[in-house]
Amino acid sequence: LEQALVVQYLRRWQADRAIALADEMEACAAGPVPETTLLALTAEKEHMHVSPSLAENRAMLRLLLGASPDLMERPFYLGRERLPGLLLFLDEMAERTQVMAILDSLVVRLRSESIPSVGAALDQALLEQAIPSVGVTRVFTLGRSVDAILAGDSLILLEGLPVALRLTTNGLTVRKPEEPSGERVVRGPKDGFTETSSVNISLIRRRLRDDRLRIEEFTVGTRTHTRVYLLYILGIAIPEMVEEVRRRVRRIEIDAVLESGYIEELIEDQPFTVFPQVKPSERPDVIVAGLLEGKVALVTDGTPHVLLMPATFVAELQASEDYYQRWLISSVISILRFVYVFIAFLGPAVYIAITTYHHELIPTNLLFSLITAREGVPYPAVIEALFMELTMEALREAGVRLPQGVGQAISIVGALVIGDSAVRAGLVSPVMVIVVALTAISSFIIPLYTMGLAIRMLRFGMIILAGLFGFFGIVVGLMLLLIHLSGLRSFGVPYLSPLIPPTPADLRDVFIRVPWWLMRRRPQFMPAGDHRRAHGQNRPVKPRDGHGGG
Amino acid sequence: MRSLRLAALLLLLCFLPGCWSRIEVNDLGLALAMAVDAGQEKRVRMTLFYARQGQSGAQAQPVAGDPVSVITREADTVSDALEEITLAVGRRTSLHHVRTVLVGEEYARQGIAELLDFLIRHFQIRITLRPIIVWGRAEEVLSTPPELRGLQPQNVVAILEARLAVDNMLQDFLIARVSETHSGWMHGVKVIARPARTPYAPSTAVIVYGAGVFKGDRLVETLDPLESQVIQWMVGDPKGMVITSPCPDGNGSMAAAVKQGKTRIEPRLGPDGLRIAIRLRGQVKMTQLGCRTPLTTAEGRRQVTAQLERVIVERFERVIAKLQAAEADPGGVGVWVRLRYPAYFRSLDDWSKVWKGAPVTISAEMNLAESGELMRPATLTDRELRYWEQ
Repeated sequence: LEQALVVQYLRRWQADRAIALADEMEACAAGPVPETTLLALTAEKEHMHVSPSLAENRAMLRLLLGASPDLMERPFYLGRERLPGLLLFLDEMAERTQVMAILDSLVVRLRSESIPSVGAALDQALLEQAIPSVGVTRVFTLGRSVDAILAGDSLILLEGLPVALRLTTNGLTVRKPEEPSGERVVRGPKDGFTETSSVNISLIRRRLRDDRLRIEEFTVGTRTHTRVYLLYILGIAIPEMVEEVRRRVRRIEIDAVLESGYIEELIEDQPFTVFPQVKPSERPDVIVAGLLEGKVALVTDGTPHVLLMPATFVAELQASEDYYQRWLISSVISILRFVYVFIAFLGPAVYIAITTYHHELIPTNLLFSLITAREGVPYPAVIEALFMELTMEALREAGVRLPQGVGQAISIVGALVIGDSAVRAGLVSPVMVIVVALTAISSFIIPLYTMGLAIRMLRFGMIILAGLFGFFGIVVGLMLLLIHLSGLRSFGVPYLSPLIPPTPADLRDVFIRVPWWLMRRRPQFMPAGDHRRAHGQNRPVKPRDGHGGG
Repeated sequence: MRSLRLAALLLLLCFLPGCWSRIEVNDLGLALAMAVDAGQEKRVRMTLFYARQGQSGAQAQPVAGDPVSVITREADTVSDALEEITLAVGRRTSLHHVRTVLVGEEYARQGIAELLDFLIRHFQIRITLRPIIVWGRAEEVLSTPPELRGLQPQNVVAILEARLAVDNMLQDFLIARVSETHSGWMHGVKVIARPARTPYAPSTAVIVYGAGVFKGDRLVETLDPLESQVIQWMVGDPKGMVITSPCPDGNGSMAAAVKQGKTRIEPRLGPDGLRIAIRLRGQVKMTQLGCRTPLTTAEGRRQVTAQLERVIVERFERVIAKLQAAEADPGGVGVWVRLRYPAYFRSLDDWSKVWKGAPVTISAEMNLAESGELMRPATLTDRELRYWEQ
């Protein structure tokens, strides 16, 4: 029967391709519809209008959605005229209390009332009066109807009405905002983004109650229809940059976007680099701070990682807490972080270079210790370092992937048991264990996980260069890296800004962080429209004698 | 084109030290000191002091046999001697960490030009190492157990660093060697026999003792510890130097340590030739006072400082006379002459000859900066002081 209704719908459509599809449907009679025919039907769904026939609409939607078991159909009769209608929604995607309220309104409250005749007046009346939903929109095609159902909304179809009504009922189970595990702070807000984009946007809006905050919606992914929101502050963000982000997002043609990492890879300037040119963050305060600097954010539905662009090397080494702690403390920590980044990057390489080629640089007493420690180790220092680093990477990955409790156990087993056993077995020297452990600790200091990954990967290259050429290799490696970094750009902004090209005014927020009352302008390397953060004199002043106190 | 450049770059890398010149630390034979003596059968007798692994650091482990290896070989040249030694060592000898070169007295009197040439050309030798003259045979120092340090070379250098204010490095000696204005000198050490304090204590010890003065590359004069302080005063800071003297009235003795001292060398070129005035200024603090002279009065302090000045001037005169007789100028008087009278200095054939005959007058001005807690001898009462002579 349903197949006949589909054929009837297709014939009513009166289009050549619809007639061809109807012929194919008829040819298969009561048997299963061939996959090619189904795919062809799906491809045409955006052009299929809602039919006045309720049965045809129902049959078509069931066909397009593959008669999915979670597709809930609730027939009802409207008003005293008992006009047949159908409410469609996906179980668990739509919120049941909202669906129940709609049904209550349609079936119970309108039972004894006379409804307008079928036509424009009917859906107008329903829209305006009867349906208790926050959002009601008319849908004219079956394609949009399918999208609405898949998005968790409910769809009302009425006999004789060639329009469907889309009711906002999506109520997915939403995770509560929690502190992001990857960006913990001691001082600062403890909430983080969730997988729901609307929640994420609300978290941003809660902090940024500015009417100039602009949010644009895009749908990316031909199958996932992932909603991506572009956020920027009008008057601060450079219009050209916003347009560039917009253009790159629109350009994306991919079937699925399951995480913002997809978007990141599809919109970045230089794909052949380990350095992230877009800064992902799970913290709303980080994103808001970026927006206030004139950056652009992309919120992707289904992931708590919001992308901030443009990203610079220096910004990726800064933690949100740097701006919450006292400026002197933050400055010292910031300098220490740069030092530890160097250790994380070059620690094992320098150790190998010194112990293999440049013994004269080692203080004599330390050299005694090193010689004693390495006595009996069968492998060269470079092999020893690679072995330890690879083991450490394996432990780290294992610790991340496993459940939290087991992960910790693995880390302890790895660090204590394997390290100690390797030393006792004479496979590695104790000094190498110290170097690798110090390097690992240093790499944890890097606030941005993706930047930490980049430095971890590059470390292996430096180890090999140091093992082959000593300090010459390290210097060559650093030069190549500097050349690479100097050429990188993130949405047109040099990656090493504000160091290269030098922007002296912005150095107040690189190695040290000056107090807030001195940060009166937004970053100069990214010229914003409204470049002043503060218009008044904010420097605290000491109260005059006789004032204050009590 | 780009790949060609890359290939050229890779080719250039081959000329750098690479994995083919790699030496792991545990393959190193770490030499810490070199001793050079006159040989018995051949001209040069070289001794290298190697630390055996497992002797230092927190991870120290016991090793079989002696804690150090002291290897001696004789050859006709310094290079050959080193080659002979490396043939006997199962590790790659590294001279990067040689802290001191000990030169035997006999070898030094024969001339150390060859040794200096070897040291300056060897890429592993640091010019900051300490050359030290040994009164006796240099190799004996290396075979003597150290006192408070683990290894003898460290012990010797540590004594020099801890005790002597003036550091004399190889670079200083080399500068003096090629200079026309002053002569090279080295701190001296010697091995002394001493009664063992415990059954386990060594029977000999190494002490820093005086200095050796060179003319050119030959040792020409030896100075005892008190005399060597004169060189320290002239070339650097005599801080810590102790002046011991009889009391002004001849009864008892006193001692003062120099807190700060400066030397002013003033050459004067007159019709009767070059005259040199050396003016010493210093601040001293009393470290010992066994005199009746009261420091509470200005007259008493003047008498004490005058006595100290006399002692230091006498010491200077004695040493200057020795140096002039040896035609050696380690104090750098010639530098001042050249600065003051460059044309005159250029006209000289040999500064050392002029230095030998130049009259030198020495004056000293001491300032008693600290007398200590007491202004009188600590062990005498006022009554005892009053009746000192009785």
